[in-house]
Amino acid sequence: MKDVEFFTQEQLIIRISRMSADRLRCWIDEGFVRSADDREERFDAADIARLEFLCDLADDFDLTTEGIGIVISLMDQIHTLRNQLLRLGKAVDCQPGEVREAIIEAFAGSAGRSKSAGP
Amino acid sequence: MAEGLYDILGVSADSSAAEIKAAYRKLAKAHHPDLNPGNTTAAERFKAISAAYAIIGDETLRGRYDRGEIDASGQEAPQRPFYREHAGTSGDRRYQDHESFADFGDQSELFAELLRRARAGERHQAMRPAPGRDRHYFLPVSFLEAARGGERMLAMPDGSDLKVTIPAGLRDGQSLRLKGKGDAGLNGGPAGDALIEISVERHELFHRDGDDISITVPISLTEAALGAQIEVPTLHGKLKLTIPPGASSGQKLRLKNQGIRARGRQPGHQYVELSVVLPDTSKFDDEIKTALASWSKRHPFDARATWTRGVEL
Repeated sequence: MKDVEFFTQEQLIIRISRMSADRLRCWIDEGFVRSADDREERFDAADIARLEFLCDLADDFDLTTEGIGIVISLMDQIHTLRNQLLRLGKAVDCQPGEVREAIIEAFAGSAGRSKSAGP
Repeated sequence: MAEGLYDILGVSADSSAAEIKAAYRKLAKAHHPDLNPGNTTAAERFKAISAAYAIIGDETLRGRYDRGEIDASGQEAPQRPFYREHAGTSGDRRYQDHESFADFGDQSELFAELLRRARAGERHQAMRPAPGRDRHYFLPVSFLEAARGGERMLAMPDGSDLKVTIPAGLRDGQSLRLKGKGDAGLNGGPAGDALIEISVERHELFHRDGDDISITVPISLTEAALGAQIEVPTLHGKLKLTIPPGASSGQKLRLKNQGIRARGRQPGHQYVELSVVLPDTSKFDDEIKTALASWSKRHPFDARATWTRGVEL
């Protein structure tokens, strides 16, 4: 595994032009970004990308802290779902041909069917 | 100059700053890669949109662009990362939210199993430093230990002894916190604390009210009538106490600063309540009986004269 580069709060503020100490403090307190340590001085590249996105939400879309909280929470849920769905798809890909066919058949057939419907 | 910046944002060159911002927002919403995680062309489009906005969304740069001082490519949007590129990487695990599809588990065996494993995995990956848990103990101490202070050894479950310093004036039900004497921390986190709840036993003679001590001392009839110097116990050793002539049961005398001497508080006092005790009256002979009777006749005294005055009965 390659080494992961970590950043302190001060380094984040320097690296992200739209970031201020107050803003970072607020977003850390809200849990929008989470340090890998308790001293809150260990952020990584994913956090920088998140913070850039949070800056877009705040500056370009004028979202309030509450609004940002809703968006980022939904975004995390979507990414988790996307990842799981992707992994499920890859798992299906690894199955023998007839199993794959059967799953695709069942999956396509289940679209729009209510969950209480029988077999 | 390929496409004009105003064209990219779909606004006219004489649009107001507000119109430009509104147009940018609308396009950014549609093309921001983090708002469109599955759209592979979104990043390219968004780069162009934000580069255009970086110039004509800025009053000064817009002026220079309009005057031809800078061209559309003059201000390249700096290389910036998008979060979606990190989603699904190890750095993203902190932000994964498996509970958001916990309900799938009710409807599909497959998801129930996947969810179970995801939760187990999260526990496994919880390698953050965490403080150890606090340990709770119960320690009964004698009245005198609590009042005077002292040291006690507490046997720990692992066989070691923990020295507990009991500060003078400790109250029943109070807890002592010994920092770092609880369970060890996880992954380099600090150890928990030992919380020792104190129960103070009663004393046969001493009673306590805050930092004041009270004690009832029996005195003889003669000592009460004629006065005397007697010895009384205190928390800090025996002391001489002068009983004034004519003392009665119930009378309280104060021994200043002889109560509990707690750190950081004014010392309490000891209150001595006198209790007159008659000698063995079966040994009273005719001499004393006659003397008492004749004395009482000459000095009539109603001990209950004022006893019930003003009291509702």
